[in-house]
Amino acid sequence: MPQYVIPQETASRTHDAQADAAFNKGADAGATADKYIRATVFLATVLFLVGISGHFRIRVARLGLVSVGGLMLVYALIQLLALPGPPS
Amino acid sequence: MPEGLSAGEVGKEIAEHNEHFASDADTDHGDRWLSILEALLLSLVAVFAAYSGYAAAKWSTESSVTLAKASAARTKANRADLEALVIRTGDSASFNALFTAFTAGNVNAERLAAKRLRPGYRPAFNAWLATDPAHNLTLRPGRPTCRNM
Repeated sequence: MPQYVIPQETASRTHDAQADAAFNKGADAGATADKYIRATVFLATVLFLVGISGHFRIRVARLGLVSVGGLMLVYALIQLLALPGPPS
Repeated sequence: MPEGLSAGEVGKEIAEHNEHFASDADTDHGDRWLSILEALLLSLVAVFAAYSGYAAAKWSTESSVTLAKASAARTKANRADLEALVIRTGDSASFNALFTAFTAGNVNAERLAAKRLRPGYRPAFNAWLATDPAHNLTLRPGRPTCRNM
């Protein structure tokens, strides 16, 4: 009957909706964190490539490593720019 | 055979040495620029990597906190649902007592049972009574606590 209303049922539905919203928000935040970690991995690779390039005597090899590192840096920067800033 | 080098040979050697020296200077110059570029890249990447790691940690914390909030809200929802279930069961029990008295024709017991109904349940019970359940044969079976009545 429509007259039969239990307030706790309404509260339960409200809390359920809040839980769903918070879960989705948390999952999105986790995905953003993962994307930042991926960008960090790219940047670490750039550090490695540019770091070892100085140990090569062949100039072309150095240039090649620095170029690859530069390209990866640009790619990582594009990824970083597309991501939201850190939460306050 | 004359000892040493002739003036022409010496001039040629000097010219070759100069060319070689100039080439080395160019190479050193290029290597220096490459080293500067490497240092620049390394410093930039170090800053960006630090920022990226910081942001990843912040977002990870945000995710953990928000998921914990979701879990807490789910617990509250479950608790409220259980309370609602207990209330519904209590209402059903009190209705059963009243209905038993009604079918037995015990007016006093029926009045007593009606008094003991939960205040929140009374509007639904009154609405059910208004349908004249004792004589209205078109009613679907069930109690006032049923949602499909």
